[in-house]
Order: sequence, then C-alpha cells, then structure tokens
Amino acid sequence: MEATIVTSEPRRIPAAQIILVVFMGTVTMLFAGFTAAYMIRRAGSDWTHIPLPGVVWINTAILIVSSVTIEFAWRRRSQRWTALSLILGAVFLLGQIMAWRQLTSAGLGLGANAHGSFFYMLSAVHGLHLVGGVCAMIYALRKGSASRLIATYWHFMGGVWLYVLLLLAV
Amino acid sequence: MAIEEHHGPQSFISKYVFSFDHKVIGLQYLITAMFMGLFGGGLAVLMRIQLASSPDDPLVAPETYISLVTMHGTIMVFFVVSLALVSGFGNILIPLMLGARDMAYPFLNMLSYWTIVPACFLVLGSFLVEGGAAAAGWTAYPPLSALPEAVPGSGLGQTLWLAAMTLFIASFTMGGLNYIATILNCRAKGMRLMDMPLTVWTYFLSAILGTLSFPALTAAAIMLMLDRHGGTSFFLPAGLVFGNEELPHEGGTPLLFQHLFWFLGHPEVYVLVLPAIGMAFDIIATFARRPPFGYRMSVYSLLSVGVLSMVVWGHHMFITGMNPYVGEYFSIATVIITAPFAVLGLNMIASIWRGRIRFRVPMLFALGIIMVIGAGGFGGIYLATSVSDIYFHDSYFVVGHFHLMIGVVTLMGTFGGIYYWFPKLFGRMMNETLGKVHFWLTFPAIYTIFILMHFQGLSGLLRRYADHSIYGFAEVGKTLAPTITYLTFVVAGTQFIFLFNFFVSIWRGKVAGDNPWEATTLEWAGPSPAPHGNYGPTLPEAKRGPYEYDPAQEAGNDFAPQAS
Repeated sequence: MEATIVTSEPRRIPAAQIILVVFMGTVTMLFAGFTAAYMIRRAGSDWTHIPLPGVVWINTAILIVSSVTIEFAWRRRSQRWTALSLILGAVFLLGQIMAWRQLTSAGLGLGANAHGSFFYMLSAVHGLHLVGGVCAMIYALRKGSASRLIATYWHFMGGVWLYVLLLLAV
Repeated sequence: MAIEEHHGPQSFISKYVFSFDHKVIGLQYLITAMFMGLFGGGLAVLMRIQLASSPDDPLVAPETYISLVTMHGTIMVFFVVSLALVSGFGNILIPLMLGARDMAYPFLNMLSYWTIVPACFLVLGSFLVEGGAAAAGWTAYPPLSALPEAVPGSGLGQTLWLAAMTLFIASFTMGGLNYIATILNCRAKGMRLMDMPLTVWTYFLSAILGTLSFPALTAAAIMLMLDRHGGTSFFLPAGLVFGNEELPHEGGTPLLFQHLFWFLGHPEVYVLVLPAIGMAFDIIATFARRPPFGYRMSVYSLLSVGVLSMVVWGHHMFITGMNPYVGEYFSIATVIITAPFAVLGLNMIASIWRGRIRFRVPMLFALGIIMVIGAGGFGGIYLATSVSDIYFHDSYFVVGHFHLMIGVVTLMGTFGGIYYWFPKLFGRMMNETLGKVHFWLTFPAIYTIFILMHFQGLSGLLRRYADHSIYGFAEVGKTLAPTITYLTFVVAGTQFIFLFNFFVSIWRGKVAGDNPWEATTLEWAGPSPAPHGNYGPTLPEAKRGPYEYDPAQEAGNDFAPQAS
C-alpha cells in the first residue's frame, strides 16, 4: 500500500478574515440580484426617472469621510478616530432617513414610482448592512479601536453605496 | 487550535439546549429535521389520499390541496433535507473529519440553530392562521404570492412563509460562513485540501454555492414583501383585476421573480445533493475496502458541477417564452452538467469494482444512491432539452425527476449517514436487522413511486391538480395513481421502524468500539462516542491520504487510518 506522506504544512488564513471575505461575497451577490431586477424593471414602459433627494449627496460625502477616519482609527489604534467614524456612520444613517422623508413629502411614497421604490429599498438594505458595521464599531470601542477587518467591511459598504448611487443616478 | 484543557459544559441548558458543541448542534438539527420530516411526509400522505379519493367525496378542498403541495415542498426542501443533510451532518462531520475540536465559530453555530427554530414554528404555525398555509407552491411565484387577496393561502400564510424563509436564509448563511472558515482553517496538522475526505469537499462546495446563490432569493423575498405590504410594483404588472376592480400596480414583471428564484433554486439542488454524494463515496470506500476510484477526478467533477450549477437556472423556465437562443444556451449548459455527473456516478461504480464488499446497512443506502442518481440523471436529460421540456413541464415527469434527485438521493444519504455515523455519536450500533428491513421496504417502494410518476408525466398527467378526473386525458397516468398511493403508505409506515431503531439504539444498541467499521478517516481516530472536544488531550495529525484501504489484505489488516 502506498502511503501519502505529508511534509509541507498548509498555509492558514485567520478564520475571521475568511468569514469576512465570504460575507462580502454574499452581499455582492445580493446587490447583483437587485441590479438584475433594476435593469429588467427599468426596461418597463412605465419607467420614469425621478430626481434623487438632495441630501443624498451630503450623506455620500459624509460616508466617504468616515472611510478616511476609520482608516486612521485602525492604523493608529485610536479610540477617538473610531468614535468619530461611528458618529459619522450614524449621521449618514440619519441622513438617509431624511432623504426618505424628503422623497415622501414630495409625494413619492414607497409605491408611487418604481425608481423611487428602488431608492427606498436599496438604501434600506444598504443601511441595514451599515448598521452591522456600526454595531461592530460600538463593540470594538468597548475594548479599544476598530480593527482592520471592521475598516475593510466599512470601505466595502461605502463602495456598495457608491455603486448603488451610480446605478440609481444614471 | 491552542486549547489545552477541555471542561465540557456542566448544566443541562449549556450542554443540550444552548450548546456550542458542534455535535450537539448537529444532533439538534437532525432531530428537528426528523420532526419536520414526519410533518412534511404526513402532508405527502394526505396529498396521496386526496388523489386516491373519489371526486365526489374529496379529502380536502382544491385550495387546501394546493397548500398541502406548497408546504410539503417547502418543508421537505428547506426544513428536512437542508437541516438534516447540510446543517445536521455538516456540523457533525466537518470538525470530526478534519480532526478539529469544533467549528471555527461555535457561537455563530449555535446562533444559526436557534435562528432556524422560530422559522420552523412559523412554518408549522402558518397552518393555523386564517386562510391557511401558503398556497403559491414552494417556488412562490407572483402574482399568486404577491397579492394577499389572490387565494386564501396568499394572506397571512404567505407572509409567514416569507418570514420563515428569511430566517432560514439568515441561518443557512451563518452556517455556510462557518463551514468555509472551518474547512480552510481548522484542518488537522498535515491535512492538505486534497487530503480531505470527499464528504468534506462536498460540504465545502455546498457552503460556497449556498452563500453565493441564496442572496438572489433574499433580494426576491424583500421585493415580494414590499409588493405585498408596501404597494410597490416590482413583480406585479398593470391590468390585474380583483373583484371587478383594477389593482393600482403597474409595470412589474412576474418573470423577474422566477429568474431570481431559480438563480437560487437550481444551485440549491446541488447544495443538497452534493453532500449525499460525498457521503456515498466515503461509505462505499469503507464497505468496499478500497479507495474511491479517481479521487482527484471526483473533486474536479464536483467543482465543475458547482460552477455549472450557477449558470443553468433558465432550464426551469423554458415555457416562459424566453428567447429561443437563450433557451438553447440553457439547454446546452444543462446537458453539459451530465458530463461531470456521469464521472461521479462512474467513479462510484468503479470504486466497488474488485472491492471486498461488506453489505452492511450504510452500504445498502450508498448503493441505492448510485442507482437513483442514474435514473434521476437520465430523466434530467429530457428536462434539460427545451424541446421535450415544453411537453414535460408541470407534469408528473418533473415531479418524479426532482424527487429522485433531491428527494431520494438526499434521503438515502441521510439514512446511510445516520446508520454509518451513529456509533460515532452514541457509541452504540443501530440494529442491523431492523436497518435492513428499513432499507428493503423503503428503497424499492420509493424508487417505484417516482419511476411511475415519470410514466404519469409521459401520459400528460399534470402536477398540483387536486382532482384529475374532470380532464379527459392522461388515462394511463390516472390508472397508475392508486399504486403510487399504496406504495406511499408502505414508505411512510416503514419510517417508524427507523425512528424506533434510532431512539431505542441510543440507549439499548449494541456497544460499538471506537472504530466499528474499520474506517480510515479522522473521525474514527478519537473515542466513540466523541467526547466534548472530540479527541483526547492531543489532536490527531493527518499522516496519509483519507482512504488507504487494500482489499487484497486480510480483514482487520486491510486499512491504514489517516492519523497513523
């Protein structure tokens, strides 16, 4: 009988990193699903483009800044920068709610217009994923600063938002 | 893993209820699946009674029959097969076969189980609400599923269905993340990916497929929920009329849901079937006393099956009026899957060749899997080809085909797995005679049921109809129906022999040694029943491949465990 004698030790990646990468893959597929739906729905004869609420652009700027601050947070192991990122994240989420209210008060409720429906839905799903990142930061703050993995997730969700915005705006 | 000492959890709650131990969680999944299986199987029996009863005196009303069909499918796919085979055995086997103490994230694992429990209650509870359980089929196509007023089951029942599915997806994603991290990270010292048992490979692929394909259903479920309760029109087109009033929806596309659903739905089939195939390989190796034929070839075939399964979903939708070129593509891509699948099947057969076969109960079930994959795959070719599928669509041919593949293959895998790994879990053997009775009553009957359904479909009998007698076609199919109903009783009744055997053997079974089957893989390197932490103070190391059997040697001397 031939025995396979193993000499080399396999390289191991930290489990948390694997989980994060696969989770980001899942989220990517989720937004890919929404993208497919958006493309098909947009080809419908009743499609009318609505202008996005103005506050969205301010929110986007805040989210981009928060990506910078969280980079400082994990590189400098800084609790202050983490707290700042956390606040910016929360402000972004509140800003998104404001955007919904702007849209609703303009007479464009959830079901009024298909383009608007996609805005509500995509910003809500993105927002929920961002809440996860905010919770991770709160958890991290109890012991110290945001970790590199939290920062990676935050950048990723920031990227997802830019993608969603691009999809909805053009 | 740098865990030096192992103090098992002490209290009843932390040991058996909110346990972090992968074996306990796996068993919780298995037992939950058995309970749900009794329920889902019971629904199948009710369906067969309805089909056998006279049209003047039906068992249930047609709308209730549709609820039965819907919930039978939902429960069996998501709450029996997924729970038993993927979540249950996945949790039990992955750490044991990798020589690890537990999953990478035991807490996530516990969370995943306790997310599925409320989902089970929602599914069962939906039978008690006004209007009854969901009635839009396990595929939940709109507009039936999107309009709360469409049929009685489209009301609260459908909402609960969607809520249960959301919890299921959350739980399954947590499980999948954990599987991938564990397999990549917690393998025994010396174990490369290509030293893993095929069962672990199949769980690895199944987890990747699950985590990548389920989000499409999540997206669809969110949109469906908004269409139902938010007044949006993602799936609802203009011009729908209910009670002489035109509904305000406009512009939606019901077909969009089908695409998103099947983007999940097809890979989901492989998520369920692959682990059964992996287990069959492992069981066949042990009982034929020789390594599986073409290990690497099987791994590559599994990989290509996985990749292909993501790009063939359209074959469920040939009759939706899709562009013929798109249909052509989906046909060809689907038929290509036959190639790696045939490799897997032939490798299984070749693994028996010149083996010294021991016909124990797990082996019977594993051999059954080979047979069913052959027959089920053969029917699949007809359904993959758009020309013939247009005739077979929504007929019993489809019902027979998919039950063979995701019903019988997975069921045989689950049973084979339970008989095979029972001694690992409880340190006792299940009764061999009762096991053989269980196999010989279940397998021929269940096989005949679904083969006959192919013939019903050939004759034109359509699925999901509560009463076929008013249609003047498919006479052959109608005459086969009573036989199928009788056989259903045989299959259903026999499962109580299995349950009796299972629960009695936990306490009364013959005491098994550490390695009762003389198997090589790492799960048998530790004591049976596996204690908390799986192995004693030191973890096993993988010193050789997973299947070092030699049928030419004397019994007892014909295998070299992976750890030695």
